Amino acid sequence: MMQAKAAVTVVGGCVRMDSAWIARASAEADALRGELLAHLALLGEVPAPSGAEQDRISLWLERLAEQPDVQCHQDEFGNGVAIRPGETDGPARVLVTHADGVLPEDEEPEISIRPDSVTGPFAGDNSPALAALATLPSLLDRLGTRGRGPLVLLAAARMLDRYNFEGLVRHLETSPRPEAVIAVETVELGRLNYTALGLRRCRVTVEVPESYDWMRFGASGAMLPMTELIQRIGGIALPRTPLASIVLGTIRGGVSARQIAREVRLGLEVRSESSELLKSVEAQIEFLCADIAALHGLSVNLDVYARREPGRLDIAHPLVRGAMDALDGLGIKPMLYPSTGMLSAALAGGAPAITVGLARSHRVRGLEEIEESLEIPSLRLGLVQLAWLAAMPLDPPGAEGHGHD
Amino acid sequence: MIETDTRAAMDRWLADHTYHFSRFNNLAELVREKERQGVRISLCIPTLNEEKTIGKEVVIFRSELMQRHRLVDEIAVIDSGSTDRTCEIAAEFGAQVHASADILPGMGDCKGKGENLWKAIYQLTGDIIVYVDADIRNIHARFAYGLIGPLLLRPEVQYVKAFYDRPLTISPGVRTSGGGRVTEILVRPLFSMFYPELTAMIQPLSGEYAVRRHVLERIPFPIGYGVETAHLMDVYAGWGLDAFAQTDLGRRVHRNQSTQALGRMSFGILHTFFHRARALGALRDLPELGTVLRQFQAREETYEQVLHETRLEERPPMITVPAYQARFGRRPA
Repeated sequence: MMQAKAAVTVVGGCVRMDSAWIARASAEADALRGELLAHLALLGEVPAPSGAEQDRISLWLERLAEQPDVQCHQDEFGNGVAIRPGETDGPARVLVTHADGVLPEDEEPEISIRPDSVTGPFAGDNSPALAALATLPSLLDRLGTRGRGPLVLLAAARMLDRYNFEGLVRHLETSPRPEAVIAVETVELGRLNYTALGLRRCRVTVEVPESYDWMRFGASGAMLPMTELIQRIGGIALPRTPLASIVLGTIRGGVSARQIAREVRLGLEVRSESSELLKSVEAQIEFLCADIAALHGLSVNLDVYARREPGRLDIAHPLVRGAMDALDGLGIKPMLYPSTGMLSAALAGGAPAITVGLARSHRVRGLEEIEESLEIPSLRLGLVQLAWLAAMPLDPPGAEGHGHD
Repeated sequence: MIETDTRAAMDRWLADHTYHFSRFNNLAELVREKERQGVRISLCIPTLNEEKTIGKEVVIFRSELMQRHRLVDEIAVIDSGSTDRTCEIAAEFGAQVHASADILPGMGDCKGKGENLWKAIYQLTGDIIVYVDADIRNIHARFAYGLIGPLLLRPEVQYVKAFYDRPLTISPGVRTSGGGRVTEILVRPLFSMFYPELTAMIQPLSGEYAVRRHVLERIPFPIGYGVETAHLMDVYAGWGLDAFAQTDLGRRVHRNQSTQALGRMSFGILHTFFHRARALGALRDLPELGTVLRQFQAREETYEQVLHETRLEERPPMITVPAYQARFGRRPA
């Protein structure tokens, strides 16, 4: 079969998709709506907490393996890898998303499908992104589109929280350097990240030791010292530039209202585009923990369990320009902001990398659960975006601009 | 001695006629067999206000069993008059949607699941019809192919029934057993007394089954709750236990009903059971049975009666309906 290339025009040295291609790709994506939603529902209803994603990854690979000329396997790190040959054996283009989600293994997520929306806890716990990658080869086949080099679809394992994007990091460390890495997140369509903030993800545990004198200082337990620590962390001076923030994300502690808390845990994340600032803030938090421990005679343990250094791609890089042009062609306003997600790990691997989003969503948020609703028409646009990104030329050569702090 | 013989016979039947859905996971093989036999397969989903679950059911069945593998030739919703978006959603995702009242309008419109199942025989064109309830929250293609498999691979099997582990979802969190209350409290004891061989059916009331057309068109259909019970009694009487098979479909998560609702269901099943047993000669001299179930509810300091009249209507075997004979060119033997 004669393979048509993605219809492009070159404008000002950059390649852009034209309206005829957009129309055709949108129509083909519409025709694949049933396949996309079936993938989404089936994958989304398999819980996949970090470290226990194998059932979901196996199902994802099984669904891809039925597609002609897609080679599937599970690598030694537990990642699902699906490879669609390109026109040449040149460097691969990697599209990656995380296979793990936040729901525990014993929870039975339920996806509900309406004509215009899909609803489920935590947006199907990233199953829409997995479903989009599983559908992409079908869409590219219908468009007769093939990239210059192979297309690698990666359902990465052990990515979230403590695992610190382990699946992606290991894959990039052990594979030939790709031409580009495109990280795919379910939300939000229009998202385009090419700057990655560095981070320090921490857990602070304030604990009353066994030898604690409960008669001293009104026996306040772990709560009040933790409160003081939080206030002092909040008081750490941060400059306007370089960008930096401290996110106080979770707090857990105590057993019941009638018992003094013996242990309180704080989850926080320091983010910055400056490595120096990250080191400085980490050191200050370490000092504050030691000070609180000494003042109150408690145990205060700081566990920095994830570290990522900042990185960025130049806005003029063809990968960024191509992604912006894709959004422009689809009539979507790009949302450009620094990311703390997969992008950092991807850039650290040495290849040009961006993060894009797939769909528009709405959240109903409670303390126990986040129910998220995705717009199906926007998911179709997200899929068309991926088809473009999977095959768009990254010429002209010499377009550098990749930097890593 | 008789009980020992029955037990041994049922052990043999269980071993030979009970499957797990994984036996039929090779859908390409099933499709090849279907094509070799030249068989058409229809999937029927009877509905009444199931907008929350119908979208996913249609999406998954169409994608898995019509597009990825051509195992099913048509998917149809037969609706009892939903007032929510059930019909719109089903149509949007590619199912045929038929109002029960619009099928065989000359024969009237009785409201009830049995009515929908019966009218599906006229509306759908398959040599095999698969019935799947619309309220299944963990729907999967196995709910259909697990039932089609035995019919394609064993020509002597006529009627395949699903069974599964059914967690109750009444209270927060899910317990791993306890489903099938009406089966264990009512139907299994009744079958044990009058039709011991039918106790081999692990879940006689399951709403998922696949049947050959020439069996469906020859059995009557009670309109109300007893339709599945009646099926088992009539197919057993007409074709014997060996006409049945059953498949373990794993877990089925669905909306569960209150004890009061199950009481009404049980009342309907009892009526159906006694009337079919008399028609089939297993019971004689049945007194006139009351048709009103009396339940109670408390309001402040008084108890109020709540009366429920059970439906006794029954549709005749479809093969006796002239419009069906004309449409399908089939007549009673």
